[in-house]
Amino acid sequence: MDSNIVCAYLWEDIIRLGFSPSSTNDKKRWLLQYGQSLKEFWETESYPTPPKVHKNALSSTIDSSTHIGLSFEYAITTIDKFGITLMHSPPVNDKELIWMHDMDRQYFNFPNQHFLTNHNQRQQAIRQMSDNDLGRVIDSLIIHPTPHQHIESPINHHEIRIGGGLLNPFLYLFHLRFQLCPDQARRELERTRLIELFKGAIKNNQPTSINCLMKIP
Amino acid sequence: MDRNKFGINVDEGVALSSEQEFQLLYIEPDFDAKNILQNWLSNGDKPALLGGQIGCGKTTLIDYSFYQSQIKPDLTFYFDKESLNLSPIDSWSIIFSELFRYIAKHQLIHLIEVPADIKIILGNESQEWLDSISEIRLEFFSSQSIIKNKTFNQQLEEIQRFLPKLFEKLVHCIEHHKGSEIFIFASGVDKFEPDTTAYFSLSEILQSLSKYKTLFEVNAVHLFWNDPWMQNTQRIFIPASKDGWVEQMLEKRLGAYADNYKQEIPLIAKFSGGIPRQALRLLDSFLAEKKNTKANAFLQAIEKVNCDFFAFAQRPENALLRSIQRNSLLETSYISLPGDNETARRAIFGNWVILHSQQHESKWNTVLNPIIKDSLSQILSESPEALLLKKYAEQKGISETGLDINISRLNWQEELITHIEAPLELNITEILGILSSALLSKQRADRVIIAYENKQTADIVRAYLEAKSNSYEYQVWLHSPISYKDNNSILHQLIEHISKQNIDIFSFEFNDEFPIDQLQELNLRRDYFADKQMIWWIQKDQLSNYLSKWTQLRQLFQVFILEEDLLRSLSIEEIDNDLAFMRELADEENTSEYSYVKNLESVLEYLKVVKHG
Repeated sequence: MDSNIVCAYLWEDIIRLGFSPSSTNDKKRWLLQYGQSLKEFWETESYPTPPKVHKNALSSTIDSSTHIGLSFEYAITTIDKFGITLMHSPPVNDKELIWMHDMDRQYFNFPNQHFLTNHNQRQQAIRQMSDNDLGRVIDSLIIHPTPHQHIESPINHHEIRIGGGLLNPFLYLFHLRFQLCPDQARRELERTRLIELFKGAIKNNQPTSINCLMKIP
Repeated sequence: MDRNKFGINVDEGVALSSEQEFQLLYIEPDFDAKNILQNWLSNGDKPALLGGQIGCGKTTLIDYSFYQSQIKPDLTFYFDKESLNLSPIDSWSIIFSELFRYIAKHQLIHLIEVPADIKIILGNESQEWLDSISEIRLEFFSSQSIIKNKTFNQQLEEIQRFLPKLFEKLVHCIEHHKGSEIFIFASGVDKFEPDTTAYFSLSEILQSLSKYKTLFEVNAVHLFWNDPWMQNTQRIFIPASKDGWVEQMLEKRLGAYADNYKQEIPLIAKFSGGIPRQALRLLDSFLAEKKNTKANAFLQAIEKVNCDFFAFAQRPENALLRSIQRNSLLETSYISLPGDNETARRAIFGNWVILHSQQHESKWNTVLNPIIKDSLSQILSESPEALLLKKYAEQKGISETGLDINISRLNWQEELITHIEAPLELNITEILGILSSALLSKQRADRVIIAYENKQTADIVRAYLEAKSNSYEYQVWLHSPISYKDNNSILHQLIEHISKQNIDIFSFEFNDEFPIDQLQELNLRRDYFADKQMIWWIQKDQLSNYLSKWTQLRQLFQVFILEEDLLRSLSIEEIDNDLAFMRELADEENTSEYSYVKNLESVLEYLKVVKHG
């Protein structure tokens, strides 16, 4: 099987098994533990406030490490309707910089899963998958999103890549956890950890538990 | 113990023992002791004492040597964890139960003559013997196992005066069947300080063991002792390691993160005094302080480790410390002088001074432990420690996480030593900050003592910590008061609880005055606790009584004094917010959310009462 097809199955599996909490409570648990994990992952001073329900959306504001100086606010209405607002407040009296990643389900999106289901080759793809395939997919979802933006100024950290093509709110938040981590060693270890984690989850076709997903390497 | 394959491994107090741990974390020592030990394992024909100071890596060295040489002891006696009381019978009980285990495992039970009353306890078949021995050794705690333990000890007591002969006879039979001499490992003798009652109670047994090829794990002070059982022994000394070696060890422990701490590693190595466990404790404390973005995290780590190891400890005489500071020499013949409690023996046994190498005959190159007050207050501006600190301060000074202490001014040390050798008072969020890595993870096995003044406050803090420990995954707590009971020692009570299954965090509240021998017993059997996640609650006015008896045990614990005013550190509004969110998730008992909500609600209720009256 073509390696790209294998990766296509892995892509969908990773999103399904790691980033698709189903019930409202599962979504809340996911977001709560996500917030808790950031203190240690980024080595910030305090835990972010837990998410709250506001205008039918789960939302919270999270400050990144002071090394980066970025905050973001998420508001998740459903798995395919969410907005993430990124903010930079300069220390002097310059204007704040604010931009938003918006996902709107009213517009057409390419139905990946539909085609993969019809192709019906998941078992073969899983048998054939290698660490290299998993690494490629995790890179393009989290570590080095294929379409991405660099913030050139005033936050000059070229290693931060804000993904542009991520359609799942939980994946989007998780990729921010990685991208806004100031510790290079932790970033490298996280990639290795995620490959191992998802290899097990995909082989067993079982969702990753939230606390395993949020562990600190 | 689970080790982190990719990241940081700081769990001090737990020796490396498995192949996986060796491959991940072991580095060859920078002294001869390992080669001498390996040579002894292959060719030695008389008993050996392997000795070093607390935390110098004795157990790891021994385990690695067994692993590498594939020469394993036929019999191992753990004197630091397999007994309940400090009596000779309990120690003999360890000896005979392990002997009988060996006999059963090797299907020798029908070939060896055992006193009839003991045979009744053990049973008729090998498997019955093995099951009985598990009960006698209290590997599974139950009322039946306690009865079996007591009955076995009573039987031994009845024939106590014949036990050395019986031991010899059984060993002789085993050697006959084995076709070669037996190799014995006497583990944990290092916890028994010479001239103490507990040590005396062990001496007859040590005498019996010394007739065979036995490896005795001892403290450095034992190597300078000359009891009858030591007369014909080879002595192998494990010295403090060099800074470079400690740096390598720290790098290995930090894994991929080592590069992040390039500046701190040499400093930590220097202040470790060459003692690996002290280095790991400093590293652990530094990482915890740094996580709380404390500006002077390194100095606070020194303060914290000093408090853990030395607060309320019995100090050696100042004259000895001054002399070592001046001459960097110790006359080791002082160690075994009668009535020397306050001087050389205490200094070495308690790690106040660190032995490096033999200079000439009984004179040994020795330094003060770099983290004790006497060292810190006397650091000269040109000493290696001060130069390293200065360089570090200069490097850090230009960043926003610079040191608070101006190291270039005179008497800067005073700022640091104000709290040295006295416990630190921290508020609940500071304690949680330091503990969080351990408390939030099921994988860790850290141990903590929290001293408190007011029991109600302590209960609330416990509820808060229990709630927070359930932030990620469900962790089951067991909390129990430990009280003085005539017929049930503290150790016995603790073991009874610890043997319970499916508990993640053990919380024990010591709310009595205990006899000294019971406290000392905990000190000797500290390895019972080495792989458990524990919080011990002790009343503040009792803390000095406990810590002064726990030279060994305190090596496994961090010590905190609780600041009583919870309102200063906990916000009602924040807890309200947390609860508002979590209540909806707490729909099922025995879940992390349920535990979180239940405990945090009691904290909130208390805070509201305190605030509003």
